[in-house]
Amino acid sequence: MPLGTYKEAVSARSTDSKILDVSQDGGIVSALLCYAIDEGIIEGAVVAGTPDDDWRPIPTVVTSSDEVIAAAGTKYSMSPTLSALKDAVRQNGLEKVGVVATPCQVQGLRKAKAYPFTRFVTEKVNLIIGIYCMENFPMASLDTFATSKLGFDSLTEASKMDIGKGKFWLTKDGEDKGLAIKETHGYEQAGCNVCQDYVAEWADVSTGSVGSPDGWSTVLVRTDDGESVFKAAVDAGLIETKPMDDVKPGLPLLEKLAKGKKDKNTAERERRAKMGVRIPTIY
Amino acid sequence: MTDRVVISPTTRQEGHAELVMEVDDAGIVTKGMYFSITPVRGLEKMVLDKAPETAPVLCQRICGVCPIPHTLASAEAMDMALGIEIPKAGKLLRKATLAAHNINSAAIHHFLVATDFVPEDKFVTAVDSVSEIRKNVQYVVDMIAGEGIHPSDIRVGGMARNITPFTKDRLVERMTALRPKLEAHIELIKNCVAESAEKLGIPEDLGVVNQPLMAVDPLYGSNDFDMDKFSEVLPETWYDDPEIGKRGCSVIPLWEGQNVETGPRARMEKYQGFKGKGVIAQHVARADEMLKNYDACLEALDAIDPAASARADYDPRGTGELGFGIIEGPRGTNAHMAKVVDGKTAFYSAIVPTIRAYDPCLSCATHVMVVDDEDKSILKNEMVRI
Amino acid sequence: MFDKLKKAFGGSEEPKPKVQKEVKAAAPAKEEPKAAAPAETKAASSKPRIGYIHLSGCTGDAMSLTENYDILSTVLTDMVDIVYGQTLVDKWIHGTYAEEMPEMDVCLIEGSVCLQDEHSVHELLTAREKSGLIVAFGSCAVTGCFTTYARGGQQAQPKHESYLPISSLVKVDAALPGCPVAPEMIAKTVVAVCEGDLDYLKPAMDLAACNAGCGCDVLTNVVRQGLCSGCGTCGLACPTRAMGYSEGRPSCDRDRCIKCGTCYVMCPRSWLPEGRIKKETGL
Ligand SMILES: Cc1cc2nc3c(=O)[nH]c(=O)nc-3n(C[C@H](O)[C@H](O)[C@H](O)COP(=O)(O)OP(=O)(O)OC[C@H]3O[C@@H](n4cnc5c(N)ncnc54)[C@H](O)[C@@H]3O)c2cc1C
Ligand code: SF4
Ligand code: SF4
Ligand code: SF4
Ligand code: SF4
Repeated sequence: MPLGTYKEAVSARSTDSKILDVSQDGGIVSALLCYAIDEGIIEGAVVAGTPDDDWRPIPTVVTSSDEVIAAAGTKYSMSPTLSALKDAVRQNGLEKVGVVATPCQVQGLRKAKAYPFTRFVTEKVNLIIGIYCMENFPMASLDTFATSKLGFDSLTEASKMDIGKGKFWLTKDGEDKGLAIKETHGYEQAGCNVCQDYVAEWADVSTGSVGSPDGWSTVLVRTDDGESVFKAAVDAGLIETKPMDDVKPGLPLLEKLAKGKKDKNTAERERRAKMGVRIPTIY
Repeated sequence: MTDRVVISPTTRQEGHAELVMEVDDAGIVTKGMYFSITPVRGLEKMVLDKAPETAPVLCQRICGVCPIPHTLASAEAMDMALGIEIPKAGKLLRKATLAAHNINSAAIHHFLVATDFVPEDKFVTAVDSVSEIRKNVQYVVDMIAGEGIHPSDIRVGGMARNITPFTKDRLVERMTALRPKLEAHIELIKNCVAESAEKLGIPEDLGVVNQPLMAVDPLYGSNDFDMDKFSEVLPETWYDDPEIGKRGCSVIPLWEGQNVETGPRARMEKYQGFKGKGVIAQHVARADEMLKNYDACLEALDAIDPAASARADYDPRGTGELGFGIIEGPRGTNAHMAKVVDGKTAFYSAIVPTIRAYDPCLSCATHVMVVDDEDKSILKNEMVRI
Repeated sequence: MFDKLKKAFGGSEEPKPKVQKEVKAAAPAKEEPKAAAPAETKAASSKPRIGYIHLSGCTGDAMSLTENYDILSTVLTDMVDIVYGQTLVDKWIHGTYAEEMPEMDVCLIEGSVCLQDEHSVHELLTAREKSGLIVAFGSCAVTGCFTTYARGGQQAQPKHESYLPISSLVKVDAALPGCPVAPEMIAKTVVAVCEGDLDYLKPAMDLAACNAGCGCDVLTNVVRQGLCSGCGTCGLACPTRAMGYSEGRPSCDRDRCIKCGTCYVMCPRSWLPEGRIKKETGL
């Protein structure tokens, strides 16, 4: 099961143009967070914003739709998002918290829930929105793509950053410039090479672009909590959906990529283990 | 003829201590020597030559029962040693934290004495009542000070950050809802204490001492204080028993050359017109003080402006002057002193309410102590049986 | 070890010593109180007999234990028998209350052990003889925590200088780090112990040999091994807010680090409790 356990897979999109204008793909993450905050399902969330608009992700606590929308869009560098969770449940006083998390972050959070070595925090997280993730880049790698490979003066010139259709894209003045994914290989952080989860298998709901057409997202609904929020948001008319079977390229591509990541990075774990360097212990 | 009675270690307190008493033929204790046998971890030396920021982090770990007073005393000593004026919001947050903590601590105390004072059929009710109160006041400490037991966010210069307006409202709401439960709890404890005092026949003058009172503020603390009146004596000098002198782990602090009584009763008598002395009065004072702290906590919460800054910018190099932080902790006046030279802590001392600067906070005895520094006070035999 | 644990919690027929409130006539001083142990009231009990030993700790972990507000009275009255301990019950060796340490199924030990304090060393060694399981309870016992910084020289016992994690002197069966151990972690462990859930306890058992901790652990054991994903869990774990981040990598503020080791223990790239997470989430 390369996609983990899920109840339902659909292709979906936010119906709110305010979200679609700024979201990475179908705006599912932002739509769900806005809905959950407005309905009081969560009191706020921890997301990755970039307050200085320089693509540097900064873990941020948001408590309103406006703040959610201000943090929309993918920043392809590491955001120690979970470190802001303390702040969310302490000085921000949140009792019900959502978290947007890459697969590795979902793992950290689920581990912290299973083994709560930190006091009165993780029990308050009641919505984990996972985002698919193939790899992540140090800021310096992004700089390299922008300046050395795509001819930008600096990364900050880019108004959008995306990975899709086999390319890493930066947008400047409305014009998209693409770099073949092959050329980004070797620039990702080393920790991603041992990561076996592509689709945030332990999230409540996972979403990403792969499998759905441009501007749409592929959603995997996993837990009861995830299902109830997602269904309610759909019923409220905030998200429109299409069956996966009706969209191209559909789940087979997602499965193929997820399996590819597992195989490749399992091999890397084995290689490292053979060398005698550390790999995580699995219980 | 005198007999020696040794209770070692004494129980239901933080840290380890021994009580040695001399008893005359009539069974009257003529002399009590209460001294710490807790290993000295040496916090005062541990923080030397480290950054000023380190002292509150380490010193709060002196005691997990009174971590807030230690953090506050340490941070305030550093504030003064660095010449920092902390912002108003920071001060209010500190006050709310201490008040909430003091309620928590009194409740813990009630948990610890429950087996003595609370009849078996009310035991579960009492423990649940303690838990209910602690749950709410510890929530306040968690939110404001970062962690309920070892607070991460009481910082040199103020607080790590302010609370949000949302949190302020939530805390006020929770505390407001707590009032009837707190009142019921105080009632429950006072009744239990009175009833068992009668049942056990605890004499009214049990634990009455006539030492001077020490308290610097009704609730929070104050640096308006004459440090020169403090002195300290080594156990080797203090106890006329060389064995105890050698084993004693704490230095004996004196105020104008004497032992003093500190803690809730002392505070309540000095500032709130509380009447009554001795063991039972101490319990009553502690329970009554919960309500004073409750009011102080709500008042501080109310006054906080969440938009204001809670921490001052400061120059960590230090003034070279002695700074001190005097905080009224649950068990009495807690004083930390620090000097910072060239950005490093050059001197540190903690004079804690109980006995100074071992692993302090022999958090108030539940069996025998009326004043926290028991040496030389006259105890009666009965109290050992309480 | 496994057998022992199972036996210990499978419903022992051992006598249950009753917690006695009254104090019998105090023993005369000087004479080592080596008289026969007071006859304990015998009663069959299936509740685990728990001891709590406070070495050079701060009682913060005991406080944390009592912060299981909703279940505390049940735990104390129905789930366990506390047969030894100075703060929670009046049982203590070398004192008037209990001349001999009772047999215990589990003994929780808080604090590091001062090598220059005879009584501490004696109590620890005796506890090892008397208890089925020794749990290092809190980071002082597990790693030495901030007492690692102790260096003696303070009145009135300038000689007290060496504070060791308890695994330096005795075999430890399980370790629960944290400064203090989080209340929920304690609750989950108590439940696992009562149910004999060895799968849950396995990581704590594997941590038993641990004898040092530091904010540097994530650097040496995760980042330096090319395993870090920048997820932020270590920052979430840190009780002093010493753990910050620099471009997606942990950066420990050494002015604040107390060497509790929680950051590394919480990191999903140190160990990952996959089985438990799947069980808890149904995923
Ligand atoms: C490093 C990375 C790699 C990815 N790789 C893939 C991939 O290979 N295939 C695929 O289908 N999808 C991938 N995604 C997911 C995709 O880019 C979108 O984030 C996802 O589809 C959600 O889009 P949306 O329109 O629903 O979200 P939006 O409404 O735009 O919201 C995006 C949310 O993601 C959060 N976020 C942004 N950057 C980060 C970050 N660095 N770390 C954590 N959270 C962040 C923001 O806080 C925001 O809440 C990746 C995402 C990241 C962060
Ligand atoms: S590939 Fe894995 S480790 Fe890397 S950022 Fe994505 S989820 Fe994290
Ligand atoms: S680990 Fe922390 S809470 Fe536990 S005894 Fe040590 S200092 Fe206290
Ligand atoms: S960085 Fe924090 S969690 Fe890690 S050892 Fe230091 S204090 Fe503990
Ligand atoms: S928890 Fe581990 S993987 Fe995550 S940021 Fe810290 S060291 Fe890196």
